[in-house]
This record gives sequence, structure tokens and C-alpha cells, in this order.
Amino acid sequence: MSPGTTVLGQAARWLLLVWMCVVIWAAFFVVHPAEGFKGQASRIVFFHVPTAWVATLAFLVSCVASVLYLTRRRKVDDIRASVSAALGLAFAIMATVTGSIFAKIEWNSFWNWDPRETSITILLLMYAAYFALRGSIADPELRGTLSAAYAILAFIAVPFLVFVVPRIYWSLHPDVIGQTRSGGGGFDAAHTLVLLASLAGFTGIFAWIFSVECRLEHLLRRRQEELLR
Amino acid sequence: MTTPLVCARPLTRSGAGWLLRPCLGPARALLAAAIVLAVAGAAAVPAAAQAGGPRDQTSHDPGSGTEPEATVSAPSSPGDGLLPLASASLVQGEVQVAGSIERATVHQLQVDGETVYGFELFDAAGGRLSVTVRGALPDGFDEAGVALVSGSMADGRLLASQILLPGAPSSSRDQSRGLTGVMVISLIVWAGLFIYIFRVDRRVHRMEVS
Repeated sequence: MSPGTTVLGQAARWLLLVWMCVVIWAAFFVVHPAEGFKGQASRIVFFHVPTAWVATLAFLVSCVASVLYLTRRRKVDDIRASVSAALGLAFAIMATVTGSIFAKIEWNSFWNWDPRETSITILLLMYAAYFALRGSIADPELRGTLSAAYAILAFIAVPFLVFVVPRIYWSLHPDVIGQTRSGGGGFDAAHTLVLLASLAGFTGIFAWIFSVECRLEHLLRRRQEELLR
Repeated sequence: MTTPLVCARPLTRSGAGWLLRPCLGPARALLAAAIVLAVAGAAAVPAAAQAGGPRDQTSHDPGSGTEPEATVSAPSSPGDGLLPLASASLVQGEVQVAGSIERATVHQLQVDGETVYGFELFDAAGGRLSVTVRGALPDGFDEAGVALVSGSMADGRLLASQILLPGAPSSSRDQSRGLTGVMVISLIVWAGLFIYIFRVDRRVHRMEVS
């Protein structure tokens, strides 16, 4: 039974709709602009940080599913790995776009080649290459194996690019949860609450889309196999 | 005979289609949402930038509108003190002044196809200073009594680079309107995304059942 058919599943969807509406409203009208940011720029953080977080989570799920595919050889794990990587890429693009808008307001330029910006560019290219690899192999078995190996190797670089590089080099990027050398941690309890609510909401969106995508991909593959028979 | 490791499938697909192929349905909608948000965000950039700067310079006290000394707080950096208008006209380079706007002197000119505004500021000590503004005047200028102007002095005129209007009644209203606009766009994007995924979800469920 798919999660969409249960009463709980349906309730969760409507709760997510209301939850995110409240988060959007709170992000704009409940909290005041945080100290240490220009104008209203701090409000972007409520959408930028969750998208970046979900991208990292999606890449982790893709890595775990890839490991499972290599050990169990089940088709569903390959589907999960590819769907999760696709969602991770989509959320990483959203994080880049929102980050660029933030950079324009804060530093008067959409792109500064800051360590964060450079590392997300590398990340985007790495996962774009994952899909180039998947698209270039016809044999499903071989495609699953090679792309699983690639996804594991790609994920090894993710924590390094997301968490380590921006902390080794001096970065303009503010850290709203923990203070960095560049400062910008002007978030009080209300800001943190809205940010955490947004994180939960975006994680819910990811879980829902992931579930729908996996089921859709599974159906498409089944149809494809039926047609080939 | 050996099976080739890499086939020519990407060559048969047009453009970036092969790259976006795995991003079926909802993920594609996410990308579309990102683009809409980017447009909304880019539209919000000027408003957000205008709302920037030290918070105490955008006064929320509508009652204090005529006396510059009473309404304009001191700049945050120690090197950028406010100059009296009479002294400012004698210096060269970057200055920051505050004064009441002389309404009768506000005028508009076209210089090399560019719109230029000019007006005079006066203060309680009797000092006067001509100000030139390139481009548009800030929102709320028509209602503002006092202006805090930063810019560079040249030939006794101040070429304004930034104009802040303490106590201007429309500034917070414009800011609120801008925020409401961005919030409404965000809500529409989210609602659209929700409806789209919801419909895909139901359709997938129907396909699973059949």
C-alpha cells in the first residue's frame, strides 16, 4: 500500500501544506530582520539553509541506497539512489539560487567565488556527471553498478565540500547556527525556531517527493520491461 | 564479442534532456519553483537593499519630522560624523549631512539623457546646501521633511550617493508592502508545487491500483 492511500498519509500531506504556509508567513512577518545582516536579507536564510540541508540529506540517502544496491542487488535501491540524487541536485540548485540572491544583497554581487560558492559548484558538477554517467549506459545492471559506485565516491566529497572547506578557508558566508570567523550569527530564539520549523517542513517535502518519484520510476520501469517482453 | 561499456544514448537526446531525464515530474516542478523564486528574489533585491543600512536611520517615530537634530541619529562609524550644512559646502570629498528639505527648490533636469534631481537642504543654524541626485528619488521623498544625505562634495554641491529619510511615513509601509508581495509569491509557488505533487501522487496511486 502506498503512503498516499492511508488516512495518516493524507493527513500528513495537508499538515505539510499548512505547516509550510505558517513557516512562510512567520519567516516574513513574525521575526524581525536579524542583526548583522543587511536589510531583509536574513529572511532568505529560512529558505536557503533548509534547501542546502535537504540537498545534503538527499545525497546521503543516494549514497546509502547505492551501498544497499551493491550489496543486495535489488532494483528498488537503484531507483532510490537515482531519485534521491536527482532531488539532491534540484535542492542544491535552489540553495545556489537563494544563496546568490543573498550574496547580491549582502555583498552586492550575485557570485563572488567564495569557498562556499566554489564548493557548491563542484558539488553540482559532480552530481550532474552522475546523471551523465547514468544516461550513457544502456545496460540496466551495468548502469546500476557503475552509478552506485560513483554515488558512493561522490558522497565522500560532500561532507568535505559542505562542512570542511568553508571552515578551513576564510569565508564571507555567515553561519547562523554557530559563529564563524566572518560573524553574522545574529539569530535569536525566534529566528532559530522558524529556521528549525522550515528545516522540518523542507525535510517533509523531500520525503514526500522522494516517495512519489520512487513509485513513479518503479512504474515506468515496469512498463518499460513489459513493453520489451 | 564484447559489450561496449558506454553506448551512444546521450547523442540521441537533445540539449540537456539527458541530464534532466531522471528529474521526473515533481523534481522538475521543484526546478520551476526555484526559477520563480529566483525571479521573485531578484525583484526583491532592490527593495531589500533600500531597506538596508543601520536600523536607527529609518526612524519609526512619525512624530519627529521637522528637526534634523532630533530625528537623525549619529552614524555608527566614528569617522563619519554629520557635518553642519554651512561647513559641508566648504569641504571636498565624501561627506554626510542632515537637513530639512526645501520643497520649493526640488527640480528635475535631463543631463545627457539621464534624469537628475536637485534640491536644497537647510538646517537650524541657517546653513544651506544644494544636493544633486542621479536617477530616481527614494520612495517617500515627497512626504519626508528631513533627509540624511551621503555623497561627495564638488563645487559647493553635494552629489548624493545615498539618501535616508528618517521618519518618512511611507518607508515602513513600502517595506511592508514589498515583504507582503514576496510572501504572496512564495505562498503561490508553494501552493502550486503542493497541488502539482498532490495530483502526481494521486495519478501514480491510480496507476498502481490499475
